[in-house]
Amino acid sequence: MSTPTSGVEIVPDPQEPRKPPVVTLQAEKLTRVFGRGPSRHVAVQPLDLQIDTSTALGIVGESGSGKSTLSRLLVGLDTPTAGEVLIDGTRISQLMSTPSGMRRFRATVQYVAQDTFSSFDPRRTLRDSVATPLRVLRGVKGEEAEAEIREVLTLLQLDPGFLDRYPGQISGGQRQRFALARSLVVRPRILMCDEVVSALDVSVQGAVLNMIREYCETHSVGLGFVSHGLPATAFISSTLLVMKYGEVVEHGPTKDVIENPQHPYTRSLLDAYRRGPAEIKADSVA
Amino acid sequence: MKNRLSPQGQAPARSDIPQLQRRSFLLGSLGVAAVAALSACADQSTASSTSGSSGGSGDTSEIVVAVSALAASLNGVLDGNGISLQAFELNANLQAGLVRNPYIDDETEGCVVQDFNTYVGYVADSYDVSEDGLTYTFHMRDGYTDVEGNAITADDVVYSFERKWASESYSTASWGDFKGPDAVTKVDDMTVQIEIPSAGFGLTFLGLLANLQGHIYSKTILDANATKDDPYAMTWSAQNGGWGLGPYYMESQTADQEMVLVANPNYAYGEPEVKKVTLRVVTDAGTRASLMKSGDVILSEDILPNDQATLAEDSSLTVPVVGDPIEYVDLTLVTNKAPFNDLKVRQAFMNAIPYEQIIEEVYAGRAVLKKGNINPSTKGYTTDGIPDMVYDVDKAKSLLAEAGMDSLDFTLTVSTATQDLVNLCILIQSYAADAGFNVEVEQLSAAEFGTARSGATKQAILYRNRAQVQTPEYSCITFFKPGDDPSSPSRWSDELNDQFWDEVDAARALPDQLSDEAGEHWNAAQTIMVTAAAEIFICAIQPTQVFSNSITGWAYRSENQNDFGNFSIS
Amino acid sequence: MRVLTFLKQVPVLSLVGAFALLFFVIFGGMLAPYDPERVVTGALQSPSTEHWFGTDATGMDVFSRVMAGAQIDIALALVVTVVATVAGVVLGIVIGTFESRRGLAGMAGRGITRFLDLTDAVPPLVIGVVIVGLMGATLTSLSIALALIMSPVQARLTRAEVLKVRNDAYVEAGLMAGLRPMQVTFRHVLPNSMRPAIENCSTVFGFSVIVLASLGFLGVGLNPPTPEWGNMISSGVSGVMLGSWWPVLFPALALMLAVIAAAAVAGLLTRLSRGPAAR
Repeated sequence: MSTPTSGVEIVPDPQEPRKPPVVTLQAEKLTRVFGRGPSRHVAVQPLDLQIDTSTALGIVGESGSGKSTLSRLLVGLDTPTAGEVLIDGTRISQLMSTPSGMRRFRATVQYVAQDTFSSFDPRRTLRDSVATPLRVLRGVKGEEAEAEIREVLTLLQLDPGFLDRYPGQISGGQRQRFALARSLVVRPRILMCDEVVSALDVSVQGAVLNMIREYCETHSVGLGFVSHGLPATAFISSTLLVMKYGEVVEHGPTKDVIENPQHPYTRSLLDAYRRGPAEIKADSVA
Repeated sequence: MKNRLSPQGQAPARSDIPQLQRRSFLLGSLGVAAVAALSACADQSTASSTSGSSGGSGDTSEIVVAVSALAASLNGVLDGNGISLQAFELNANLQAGLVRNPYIDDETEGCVVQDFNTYVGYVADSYDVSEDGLTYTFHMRDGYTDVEGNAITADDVVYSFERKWASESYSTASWGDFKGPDAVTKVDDMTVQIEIPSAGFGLTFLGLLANLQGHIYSKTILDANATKDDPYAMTWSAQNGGWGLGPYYMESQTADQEMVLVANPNYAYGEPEVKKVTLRVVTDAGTRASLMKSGDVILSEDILPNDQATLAEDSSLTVPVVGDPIEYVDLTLVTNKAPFNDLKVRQAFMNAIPYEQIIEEVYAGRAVLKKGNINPSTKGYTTDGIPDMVYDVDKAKSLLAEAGMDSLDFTLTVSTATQDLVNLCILIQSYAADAGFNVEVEQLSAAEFGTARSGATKQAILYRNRAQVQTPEYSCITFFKPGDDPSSPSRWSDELNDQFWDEVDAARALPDQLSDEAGEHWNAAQTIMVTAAAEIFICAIQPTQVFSNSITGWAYRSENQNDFGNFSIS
Repeated sequence: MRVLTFLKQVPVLSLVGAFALLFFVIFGGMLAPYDPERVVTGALQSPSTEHWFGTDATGMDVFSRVMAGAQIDIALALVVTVVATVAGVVLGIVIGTFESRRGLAGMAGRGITRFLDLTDAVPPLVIGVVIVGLMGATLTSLSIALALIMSPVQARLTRAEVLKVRNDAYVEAGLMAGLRPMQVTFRHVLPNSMRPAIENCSTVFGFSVIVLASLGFLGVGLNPPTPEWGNMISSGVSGVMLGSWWPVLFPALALMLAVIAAAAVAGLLTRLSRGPAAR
């Protein structure tokens, strides 16, 4: 990997040979309600969870289960109706209230969403989009930034030549990986991924999953992996959280949940997977 | 270009007017978009169809006339705001007074003018005057009835004066010291006596009876429509016809679009030849002119002088010319403030106006120079000695120098409703500059202009004016009332004004207003008035109508409206 | 319409259009052979070698007035277009960003949105008449009035686009990159929301001149004999019926060419605003 650089204060250098400090992202009685009156909709029921730099938490559920809302709450893109998200014991609402606190939090926790046509600003080159977080959050500019970006692109098997292109000029799969690159250049300690492989071609899904898992393990990065696909989630996670209608119906070590599902909903998810065409087999990529 | 903001939305559909297609072709699509947006402002409604009763051909007893607007009320002078050209049209056709001016031949063949020196019976059969000139006795017509056949008697005359004076919005100002209904006495069913305050007022009194103020109404019909709250049926009469005694009664109307007048079978002078007149609103003057050219209407009112000149080349059309046009262009220099409180400045500006150019360029020759505002055809009166209106830069400059100035900036205000006057302002601006006058032209909407005129709030204003009662007294003093009177737009008041009133009073003291002696005093008063230059009579404008040669009996009247009752169609 | 679409595709014509507009704004008056505000000869003379576009109903030279009018109409329409677009875009961004928020900012945003809807219901001429009535008819007051009339349209167009754009994922990506919401607004939302307003510039340009003329007709425009195309058209239009076409045709043509030139320039701006990928 690259040479050590002086990062933002609280971000431990992942290249530090010894154990980087542990970062813990916690949710306490986290609740999100949309609307009022008859249109009131509880997207996330009060829940507690914790992700630290050694965790790979899988969040699985059907669309509308509140898993995406949960992930957005965890990274501070949405504000909870009740409850708190804390990072190392500090409320993120408090951190986010100052620009420097916000930047420290963003540098620590990154978020990658499922690719859409609008993942990148159509008016800016991919280089510009990828370099921005690097510059803003870590103060890395110029050639140094270029080198770091190329390094991450190599990791994601992306052609650095694409950097001069506009988002409309590359494929959806390439854009998804660029979105990952945009987050990874920040060197976050916790990475939240929302449906990041769903849009990918089956042939590259496994490679990307492997890459994410390997990256998180080697760099001590905590992972939150949100998906409606149970196999991919099960493959990548050490802990699994199953959501339905905004409620956590099952939460435990992935192995336990898969082998011994307690909730009928979890069982039905597993059944559906076993009956349906195999999207991806955990052992095929293991 | 998608004009998503257009206040008018679509351009108005004007299907069967071929000239519009030609215009569209000329201007191209965008030009039309611009023009449509503009003319849509001008033409909220316009002739949508000219089919139906014929204009120039077919049944000669029904005619279609293009007018610029319709009066909102039929009450005419009884409504305070009823004094509009449109209301005057209804005066001429729906109403009749005790007497009227007979028609006599004039310059244009087949056309007649009012003889303002003579009054003959109208609703009354005849009248006579007492020795002292103070009592007028009117003899009613035998067997005379209104539209519905109710007898018209002395009671209707008494009632008509009561009704006028009872209307809160009716202005009695032009009647002077006349006592109104108190001066009107029924002698018997067929005889009415009216007392007037002075013998000299007699001529103007007859003028008021004949034109504008003296209409007689059918008491029976109005009583039938009276209510407790509205004993004179003013509300009903504003929108319903049949209560007047003119040659026509209003049969139906669509506000701002069309009004249908039907011949009164019991008219004092016999049922008119033209049985039905449709007044169709065409707001754009150019469109009215083109409808005339295409023969879609038999008569168009309020045509611009340039268009009249063009239409005059068409041998099937008559563009009337008269010897003494009544309507005139009035430039009021408001004397209640600088700079026109200074006589020299007023006189200087009077010499800086290009009269001849205005007549030629703005009015295409269809206007004449004017000396004062008393009708020159008035018996006993001449315009001798009244200064000529001349554009004389050197004189203007020297007068301005006498007033201690070498140049003067001022604002000339005009209403957007009168495009000819806007053009006239531009001509004045161009020519007066050579004499040191820097004229800023200000346009106001018609309503704002009216307020500015009566309030004397501007420096100088330009408008068209006319005296509907063409007697020396009425013409000479109506717009020069003493004091801060809203009917005196110039507020002229100085030594010259005192001399003016001395002459006016001397003339009014004479019992015979048409005598040479009276004429001399009126001439002196007019000379002073013109010299004072508080109001400058720029020119008198020829009639604004154009009509088909098939019409004979078109009459030029003091209100410049058409008396359809006198028409014959060949 | 097809002509305008064509123009938008040819950048060279856009540049020609921009050049022509600027040229006439700067030099229009100098090209006038006669004083455009003075009667120079007889009224309604048809086009001749002496008076190329003829003379109008008062005897002023139509060619001189069309040339001098460019300085008034194009300059005013350009100013109005720029001011209305800048103001409208800023307003549209602000309300589009804030109207769905809770609290005071949201209430203000929603209030302004309702107000803009209301202005749509009031005829623009009425707004113009009121403003000019209060301030008097000068180039400045007319520019302000017209900008006020036009900016709600630009604001509505921008707001609608903001509502779309702010849900685009790159807006959140901007936040994740550590940019503050205002930075995201200026960096991402603003450039991506301007396109409809910029595309509408040529309409605003043309409409400005037409409203200006309509105001003149209502007596609240520039006073005569200011050489202004709309006034020239409206005062000459009656004469067209009976053959005096020149006092109307030439200013109408000038207006048409100016709007086409403006459309060409707007086409270029639209291409720029669409973003590089779409080029």
